[in-house]
Amino acid sequence: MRKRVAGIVTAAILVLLAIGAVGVQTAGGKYPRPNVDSDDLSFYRAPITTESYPQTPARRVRNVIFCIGDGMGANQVALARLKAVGPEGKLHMEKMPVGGLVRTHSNNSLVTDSAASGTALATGIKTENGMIAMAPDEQPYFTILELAQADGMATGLVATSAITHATPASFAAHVKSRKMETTIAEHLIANRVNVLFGGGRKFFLPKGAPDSARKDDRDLIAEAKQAGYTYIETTAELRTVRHRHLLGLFQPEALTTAPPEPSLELLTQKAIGTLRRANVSSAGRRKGFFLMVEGSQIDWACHDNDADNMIRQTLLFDQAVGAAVDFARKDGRTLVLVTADHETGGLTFTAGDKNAAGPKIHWSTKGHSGAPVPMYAFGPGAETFAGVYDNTEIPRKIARLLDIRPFPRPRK
Amino acid sequence: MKTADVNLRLDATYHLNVGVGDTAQRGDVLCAGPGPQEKPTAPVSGIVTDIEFDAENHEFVIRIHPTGETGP
Repeated sequence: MRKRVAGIVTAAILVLLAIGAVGVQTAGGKYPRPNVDSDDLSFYRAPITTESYPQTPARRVRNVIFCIGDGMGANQVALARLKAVGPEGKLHMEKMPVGGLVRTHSNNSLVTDSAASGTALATGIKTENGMIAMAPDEQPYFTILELAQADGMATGLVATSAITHATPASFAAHVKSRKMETTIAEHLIANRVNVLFGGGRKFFLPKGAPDSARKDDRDLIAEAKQAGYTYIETTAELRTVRHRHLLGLFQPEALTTAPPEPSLELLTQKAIGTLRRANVSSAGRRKGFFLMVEGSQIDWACHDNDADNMIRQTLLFDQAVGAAVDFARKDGRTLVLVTADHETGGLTFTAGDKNAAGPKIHWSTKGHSGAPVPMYAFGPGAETFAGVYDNTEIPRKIARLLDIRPFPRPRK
Repeated sequence: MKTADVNLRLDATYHLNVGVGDTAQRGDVLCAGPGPQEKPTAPVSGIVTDIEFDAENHEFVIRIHPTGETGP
């Protein structure tokens, strides 16, 4: 019997080593769920009219706000619209005057993950699932954020996941695996991104500190402060702080997306306010900013095939989009882009049963799908984003509008 | 002898071929993968008793309660 058990264990280990993608561990690690009623959408302020926002006169693009709904396909948007404003209404993102459709496959799969798609959206190159801002041969590539920064622009990353998660990481870190979140945290600070708002405090704390996930003694929060960042953890601090480098880590892991945490909308507003003040020259000239905002947990709700939470997360994200457009309409030189890194869940819906109030929802998978994702654009240069194109085209178009050349660009 | 449940972690990017309540045979491909060489298989035969999404690691945690033949 002992020999038989040993055989089972050996076989299992060999299988796991061979396939690489599997590990035997204890269950757990679910993301923090807020104690809120997913059906309560009273937080959502719908647009007053359904008219599209007007086209912006052609001007040189000064600022870019790049909003990414993780896992947000066209049907996620449609279901959120049906629930929040009805079939004839429009979400903020749907009022943007230019629409497009984006292909999302990665270098090694028809179905991408957030690392490969984030890399495509940030660097303009295809890579393999799991890799962050480097080519399949591990050659790192500059991201659009890094090149905007090199050109004198202020930069920011905002997410409802850990700020070290795959999508935000793809804009300011270069690692061969998305799982290297402690290294990603180091890259984010070393890159001196002006605004870093999200969760993931545990990747910044030294070994031994409560909640730490680091295996070394580096205290990245202390290092960030030494490098000139102001560090914040609460909504009250967020509301009052004023500084050109802000590190806001509001949870040890992901955000709960519920009070007392700051909402994604508030984080976006604060990031915009900070970035527009961050690099005014002594002559009063603004160099502009690049900001990425991610609604990270749409994807997570879809992995759970949880339509109520998916709708809630999509509307939370749409509120942030509304804040971005509010600023852009006043500014006149800000391009706002809204897209997704991929679709999650293979979501469709059909007419509900005769007596049902809403649509009947169908999930075809708990994983990602290869469905193309929508693009919505507003501001100068928005017309560039009409049509059907690959996700690698998005940062290339941004680079052209910001006069950043060459792009894509390998790091030496 | 009581056999412990087996917990497997699989990249959540790909479509799962099993659901809770399904019976998996040892060697069954549990989910799609980026390529034919990278398809995770069940190390034991048994009933899938739980599937949980671990957002932080972007993985599914699949619990299999072993039944029947589990050895080589």
